Amino acid sequence: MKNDSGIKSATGLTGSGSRDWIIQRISGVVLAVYSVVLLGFFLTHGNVSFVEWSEFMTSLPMRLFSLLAVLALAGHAWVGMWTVFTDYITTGKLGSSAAGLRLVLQSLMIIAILVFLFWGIMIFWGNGFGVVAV
Amino acid sequence: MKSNRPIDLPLSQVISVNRSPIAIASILHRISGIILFLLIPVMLWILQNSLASPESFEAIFDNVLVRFLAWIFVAAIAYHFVMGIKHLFADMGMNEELKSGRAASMISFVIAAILIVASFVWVMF
Repeated sequence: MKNDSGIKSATGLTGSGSRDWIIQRISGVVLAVYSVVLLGFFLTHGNVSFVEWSEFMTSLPMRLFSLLAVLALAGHAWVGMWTVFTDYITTGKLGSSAAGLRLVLQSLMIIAILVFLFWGIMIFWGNGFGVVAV
Repeated sequence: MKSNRPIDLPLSQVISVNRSPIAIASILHRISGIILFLLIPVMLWILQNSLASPESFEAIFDNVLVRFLAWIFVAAIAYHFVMGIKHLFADMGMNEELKSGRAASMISFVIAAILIVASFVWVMF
């Protein structure tokens, strides 16, 4: 189908609608499984202590799974927020200022996701463990 | 082919015209996603503090405001999770007719509501 929305976007994640679509599904499933694993941990540990929690989260399987989840979250949020911006911040809805506003919002969104991505990796793989975030 | 279908209706008008559970489920899926996106930094901050030391672990979860924000995040995840599963079923061609779509939305609402209430009790108390 021809794209007659008037939106020519270079800010999608992969530049391909079908690829963004499949990434949204795969990352969604990864995040869903990750959520269930965390929920399972909490349900099997009544009143979680720091030691139980940190031993669980710093185990190699959970470090790897958390890295995967952070990557999935970055992709999922990017595609999701892109969809929201291109659906609602449009010339038809907001007039001629929409394109500029959308570019600004999408740029901020992308920068934020990159920050979250590196922050998340730092927590699990950097020296973030000994550091209290203020 | 040029379609005369109205596009670019304001969201408020779309919602006032279409009050089916299918539409409500869909727009709330989006809103929950936006909430989750905005709360990512809060959750990373909580996560980092929870893992940094026993003291910061205690301090972060003693804070009622932090627990409340964590509950908002968990509630949004619960809703987004349930509707995401519904969406995956729809991708496979299930529950796409009006009746089955309504039923799937209503069932999803009930499951999400139970999870949201349970998570409130769990996180806040």
